[in-house]
Amino acid sequence: MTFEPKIITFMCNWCGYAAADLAGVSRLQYPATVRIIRTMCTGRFDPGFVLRAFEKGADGVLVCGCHPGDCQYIEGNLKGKDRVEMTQKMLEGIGIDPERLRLEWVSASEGPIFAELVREFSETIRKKGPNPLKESVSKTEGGEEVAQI
Amino acid sequence: MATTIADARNIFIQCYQCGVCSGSCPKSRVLPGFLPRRMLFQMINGFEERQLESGLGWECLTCGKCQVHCPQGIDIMGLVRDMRSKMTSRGVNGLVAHDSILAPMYSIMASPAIKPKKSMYLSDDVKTDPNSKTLFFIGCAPHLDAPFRDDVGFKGIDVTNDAIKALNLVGIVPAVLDDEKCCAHDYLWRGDRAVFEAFGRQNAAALQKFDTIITACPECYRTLAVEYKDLLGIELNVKHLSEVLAENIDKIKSKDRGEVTYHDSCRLGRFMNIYDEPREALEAAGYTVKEMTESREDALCCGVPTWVSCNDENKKIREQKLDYALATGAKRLVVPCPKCEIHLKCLQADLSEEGKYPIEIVNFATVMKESLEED
Ligand code: SF4
Ligand code: SF4
Ligand code: FES
Repeated sequence: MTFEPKIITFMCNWCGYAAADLAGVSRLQYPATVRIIRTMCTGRFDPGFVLRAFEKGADGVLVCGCHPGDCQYIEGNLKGKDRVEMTQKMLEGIGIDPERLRLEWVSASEGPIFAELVREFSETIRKKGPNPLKESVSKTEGGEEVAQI
Repeated sequence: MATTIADARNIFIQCYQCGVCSGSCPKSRVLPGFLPRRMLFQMINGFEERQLESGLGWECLTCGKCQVHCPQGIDIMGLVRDMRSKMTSRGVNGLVAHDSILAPMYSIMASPAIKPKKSMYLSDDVKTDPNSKTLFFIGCAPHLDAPFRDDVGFKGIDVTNDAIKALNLVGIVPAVLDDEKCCAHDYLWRGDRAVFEAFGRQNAAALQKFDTIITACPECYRTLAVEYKDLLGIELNVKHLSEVLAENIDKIKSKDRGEVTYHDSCRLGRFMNIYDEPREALEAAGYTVKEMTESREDALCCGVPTWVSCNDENKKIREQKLDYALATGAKRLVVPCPKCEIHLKCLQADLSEEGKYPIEIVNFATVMKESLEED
């Protein structure tokens, strides 16, 4: 079986999520690799979310927020950016490729850009192969959770 | 200090309820109702359920102060560890600070499928030798750098590099293990022996190849030297950085460097009896060590060992610790343990406490590297 990456996506309600919605209603094709989790702002993003996702076997994590200056909560997206960078440093140290985590700014009108981003990120992850933890978690409770979503 | 899983019956025979433990417990000063003597009484006299349900066992700092003073030498710490695993199995869980990050981070690291790259933390001017029979055990200080650098000011990567540089400067070029796993001290002390053993088994073979293991972290030190032997049956020759520096005292050049005060971390002091070596090293470098109220065997804890129960009461302990340090008049507080350093710096960085504790908190490794480098 070819490897189909599982990518957990944290999206800000106002931009990223709306962009994914737009991509959907415009019937744009993009790989079914992403599982979208909506947050009210990228500022809600917590490094623990990413670490948990990888712990439970996700192959990649994508975070999408409003462009700098556009955040509904003034600078939540910039705080989110700091945290993503911090998390990348942590990931590298514990032995997970930091490029498996990615942050992109996507505005509500950028449906096509979102579809392209998913395509491209899925390709990147496909090249990197499965999360090394996948084997060991697949039999556990957490593994099933990820398998279900 | 022995810390095996306590045998309740043994304690029943030995403990004569003198109350010295409650009298010396720093937690009982800030949390009325938390009394080690009562805890022991309930555990050995048929009130075990009530004690475990109360969750008070999570309030213990595991600082070991009661145990060093107990006239009967009772293994109170072993009992607390035992209580914690029993509490966990009853669903009475401790509150672990920063657990949203720390729990998945350590759980990822515990997987045999994951190969960490510890060498990525080493700076270019650090000398290591893969063929050396002496190992420098890095520990998790550099992993805690990213989450605590900006907000708390903890520079874990620097601590690691400084410790190896200090060793280099006294002529030791150690090996490092790229895929070294965590010592899992915190899990063990939270009563989770399974995780401790999962980590331990992965380290065992690699560590046994070395004649000497040097570590800059009191928790790693205690765990590798004592728990690996007691619980995993692996005997290692482990030394703390301060012991190595005290052995090489002739290589440290003295010059007047002013006054510092020194915090006896419990894992190094009470648990491993290392009180003199760090002081000797600091004094050899020309520092005058001013003692705090309550030092050495009586040293006050940093407040949040094993990340458990970081709450209002424990904050009072941290406040008192820094008050003691300020009262010495020293400009710097030297701390051997990376985690004590985090917890004390965190109090300093607390916005509501801004400017209240004007003292520089610095790791022992960093101080020693600076003074060795200068001359
Ligand atoms: S100090 Fe020792 S003997 Fe005394 S009450 Fe406490 S545990 Fe018992
Ligand atoms: S003292 Fe600060 S750093 Fe330590 S556990 Fe509490 S909040 Fe975290
Ligand atoms: S509202 Fe979209 S990133 Fe803050």
